[in-house]
Amino acid sequence: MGAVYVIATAVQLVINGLMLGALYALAAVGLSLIYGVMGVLNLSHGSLLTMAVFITYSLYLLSGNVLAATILAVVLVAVIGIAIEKGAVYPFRAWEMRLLVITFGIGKVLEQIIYVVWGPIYITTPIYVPGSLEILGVTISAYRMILLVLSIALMTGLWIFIQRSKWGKAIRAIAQDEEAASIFGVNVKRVRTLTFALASALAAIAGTLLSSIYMFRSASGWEYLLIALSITIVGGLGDIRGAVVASFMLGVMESCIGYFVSPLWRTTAYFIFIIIVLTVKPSGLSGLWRGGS
Amino acid sequence: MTSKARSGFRTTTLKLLTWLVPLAILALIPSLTENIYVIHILTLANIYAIFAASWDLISGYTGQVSLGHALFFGGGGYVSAFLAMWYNVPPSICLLISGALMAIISLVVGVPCLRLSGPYLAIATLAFAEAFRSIVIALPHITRGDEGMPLRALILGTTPNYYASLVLMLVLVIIIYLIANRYFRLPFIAVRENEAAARASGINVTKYRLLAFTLSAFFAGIAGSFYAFYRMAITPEELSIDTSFMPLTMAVIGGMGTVTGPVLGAYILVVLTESLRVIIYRIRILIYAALTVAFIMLMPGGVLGALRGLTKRPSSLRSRSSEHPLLAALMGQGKSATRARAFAGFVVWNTYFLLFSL
Repeated sequence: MGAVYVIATAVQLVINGLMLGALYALAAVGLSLIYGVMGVLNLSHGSLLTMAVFITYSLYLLSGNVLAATILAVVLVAVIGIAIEKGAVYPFRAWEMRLLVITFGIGKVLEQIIYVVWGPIYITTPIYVPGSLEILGVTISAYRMILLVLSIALMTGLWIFIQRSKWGKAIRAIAQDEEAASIFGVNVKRVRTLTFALASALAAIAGTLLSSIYMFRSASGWEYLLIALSITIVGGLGDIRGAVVASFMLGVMESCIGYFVSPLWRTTAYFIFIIIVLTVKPSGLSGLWRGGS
Repeated sequence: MTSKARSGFRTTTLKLLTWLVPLAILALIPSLTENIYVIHILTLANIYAIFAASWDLISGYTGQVSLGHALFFGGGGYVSAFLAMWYNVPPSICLLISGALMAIISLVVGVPCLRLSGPYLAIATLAFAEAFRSIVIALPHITRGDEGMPLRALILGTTPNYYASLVLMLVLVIIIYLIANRYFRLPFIAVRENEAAARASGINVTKYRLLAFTLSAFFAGIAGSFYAFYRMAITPEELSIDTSFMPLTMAVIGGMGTVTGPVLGAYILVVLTESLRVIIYRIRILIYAALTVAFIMLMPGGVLGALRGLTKRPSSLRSRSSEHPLLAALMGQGKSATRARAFAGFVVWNTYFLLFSL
């Protein structure tokens, strides 16, 4: 009986962790993609994610249709992302440190817009699928399984897009050498815009899905920004594959810490993890398959 | 020769006057007004001026953006609270110990990050500040969690506190100014402008970055400690991203890389937002953030840069290459210097107006 219980708990923890990791991967991949393509650390990423949650919430209240509300919110947030790239990031692409302050400031502006418009409230989006599955004698909520499958499907879609499509090739070309890519006829400006839109849309999807599990308030974005940052750092800045692997690792770590220690230490663990990785191996996981930094 | 010497003398006098007049006004304010609220706001401005100047030392001079300076500000406050509550350490020693301890913590943060170039320090400071804040909240039996810790006041009374903060601000800002503009000006700016060239000419880049960061943490710790004694409490709020954002905003608005700019920015922002607090309490941080973004994009020299443009020829104001195309379109070719001056004049006039209309 005892052994069964231990295994059941372990399976439960791992599946919960994988589900969280998949959602975090959606949020982190955008951050990593932007850094990989244009060398910009977009610190407004978390606020874009929260923005999507609040827009979805309001649109749902207006229309009553969760799916339509989510899609519209994702499109709107992608448009905000494009506006940020066109107005604030592209003109200053030569100043890395100034861009840190700019994107941080924009994140703060978005956070405060949410605070002023919606007020100091905690919200969740009412997405839920009832029912449960039994795997290896463990009962798992069907909704969490759907989230896991959905996120993995989205990540696979992104991977195929980047590896196979013409646009994906352009993105990879610019990530390797912007100047050479532009000489060979890649429209750098347009690909940058596309990357920003894609990353913002992924963050928006991640936010909406996360908000069905966790409560969100106007300042929640910073927490998710830091989680996404720790994932991108553990995975190696700008490395999408590393980010996906790292997010599953950190997701399982989080669910274990939440269970064994206390949910209060959930986020602290992330920050301590960033610090350890920065100290020991700043190139992160990508150092493993690229043979050191 | 004589005319040159005379003009040199004149600019020195002018320079001295531009700093002595506001200082005299600040020193006389308690006798000019009976309003305790005004004095309280200016005390806060004094403390934030130290905080902003300390941020400028690492981010304005050596160009490494710190996004978690609240770690040192709030950390200094917590250290003082522990020392004063548990060990009955006298407050003046608490200030120094908090500063020293924060300097040591900055080494822990800085040594791994400052070796690497790029955004690593920004991420690490952000992560450290948030980690410390969540640890403080997660250990309520030690730190009293969200409630924060109480402290006994350093000095009683609003006016004595005001003068103490003014003196502390003056002393520390002058020290920071000397460090940044006399002793280490060349290496700091060399590291900021061109890391490779600095390294090639024999400057130990990591050493100077670390030095700037440690000194910055030291002064921020003292500011935070004084703040805690003045408010007679320290809460996790002082470790939050909002607090980290404050010196950044002040420095950007006042003018990064000048020490005096962030101090000016601190007074402008604290007076502006505190006096508007009653009317627009809810949108004051939005204003902070929007101003920061607007300034760093359109006027990277800040108010001080624009004020300097008043005394210099327009061509030396700033190279056009660093301008946002939006600004160029908005202001038209060649007119931007005049507009920038008008804007700076407007900001300064508003500040004085708000200061005396209270």
